[in-house]
Amino acid sequence: MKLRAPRQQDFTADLHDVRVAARLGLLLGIAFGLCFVTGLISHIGQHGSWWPTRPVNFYRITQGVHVLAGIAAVPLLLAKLWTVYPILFARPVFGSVARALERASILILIAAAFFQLATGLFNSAQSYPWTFTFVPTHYAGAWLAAGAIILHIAAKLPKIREGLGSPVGAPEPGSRSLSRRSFLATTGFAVGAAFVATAGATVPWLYRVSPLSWRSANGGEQGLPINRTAQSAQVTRAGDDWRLAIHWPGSSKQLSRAELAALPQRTHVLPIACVEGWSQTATWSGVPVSELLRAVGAPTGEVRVTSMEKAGQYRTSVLHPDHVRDPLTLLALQINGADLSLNHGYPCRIIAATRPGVTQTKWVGELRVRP
Amino acid sequence: MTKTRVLLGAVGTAVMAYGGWLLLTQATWSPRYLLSLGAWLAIGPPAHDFLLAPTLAFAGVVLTRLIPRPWRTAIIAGLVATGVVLLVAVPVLTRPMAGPANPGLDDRNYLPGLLLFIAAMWALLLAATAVYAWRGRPAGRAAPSPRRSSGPTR
Repeated sequence: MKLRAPRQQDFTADLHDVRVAARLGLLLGIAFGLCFVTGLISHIGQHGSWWPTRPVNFYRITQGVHVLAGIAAVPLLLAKLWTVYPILFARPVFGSVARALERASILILIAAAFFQLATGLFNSAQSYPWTFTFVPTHYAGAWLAAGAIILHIAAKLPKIREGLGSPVGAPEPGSRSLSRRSFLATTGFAVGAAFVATAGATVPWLYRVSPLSWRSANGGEQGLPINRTAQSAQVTRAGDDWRLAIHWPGSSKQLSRAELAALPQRTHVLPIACVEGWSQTATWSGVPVSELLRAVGAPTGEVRVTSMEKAGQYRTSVLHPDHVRDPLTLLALQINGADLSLNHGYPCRIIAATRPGVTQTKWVGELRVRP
Repeated sequence: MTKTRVLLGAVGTAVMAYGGWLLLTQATWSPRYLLSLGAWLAIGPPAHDFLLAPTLAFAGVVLTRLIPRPWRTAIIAGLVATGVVLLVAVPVLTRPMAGPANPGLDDRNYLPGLLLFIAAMWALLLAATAVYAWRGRPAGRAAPSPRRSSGPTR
């Protein structure tokens, strides 16, 4: 038998069809669209000058959607590529300038899509098998992928209309391959399997069902996972001489932990939600930041929170005025009824509604108010 | 439609260019950085086109010839879903270049749960197919195809 390169005509299965491609493309477009929008929302949450305080589950939901839509996109992308795989072997390879440009744009699209899904998945497992910085590169890749998808839609719009405009149809007579309907169902089954296998990281009632949830059920310390240990932050347990410094224009005040504990304490049930897609609810007790500022005579405004961490890009965070005023924003001393462990931020930490996990600063040493 | 396409094309190109510009301006111009970024950006298309897709094509040809309906669809669906779940599992199972696992995150033994999940999925799938095969094909499924696409409409 003589081997030769495949030709487009060699692929005779029913599923290599514009009706299947357009439907999978639509679903894939929705999945990537959700990833892009929720990714931008997360970007604003970490770098923007405004962030909502309600609903308290806002970031938990947007970031859960981000990660789960990305996971659903894995089988959708593979199925879509398989549907249109024969076109890779269309001859002539380029033909015209327009064809060559289209092929180039599809190459960028597939490369960027793979890059986004692969780097996102590894990041959710806190694994970084690369030398670039994940956050800005994943952000740049998102724009690259989004642009390539929009361009692809522009190039394929007549085909998309043709495909979506006609019913999937019954199996071709005499065909031995999977029918178009069976192929779509198979893809849907794989999406469901991938979803159930991972969604427990963020969907509470799936915690015990999902074997791949990177957040373990009831794991961690004091009933909550730790994303950065005191050891990796190089923080040691604060002694009795520890003081929280509060600065505002014209004055400052220092408070011991006993003095913080003597202020009126409030208890709130709030989720903590991480950019990696996991989230969990805990019961937090401490002093609302707004009441703390009032107690020491500081004005309200924007508050820059500085941790006692020696280094790290999340050493400081900014509480926007809305969050400073929010009664749910706590300088927490306790979690789930016990003093914070060192890994959870002893002597005190910030917990506020719907803030990205990395901005819920632990081991707080200083609050600086800018009215 | 032409206007829409031109507009979409222009927006897409601009958005893509912005992504490319971001990648370029934040790049560190060292071989170590560029090789890693280049590899992760470039590996997807050839890995799919010349490795994964041919393997799947071969497997598909063999399976469709060996397995009768309705088991064929169920077994292909099971294999596809198993492959996808294993693919998604690669990061938590391997965790290359990761720090020590944090308490409560990535800190369990994933393999037993994963195998149990896959076994349960297959049991469900095969049981459903057995019920389907036992009952026979439901009536009214063989409506004639309203329209057959012709030519390279892919």
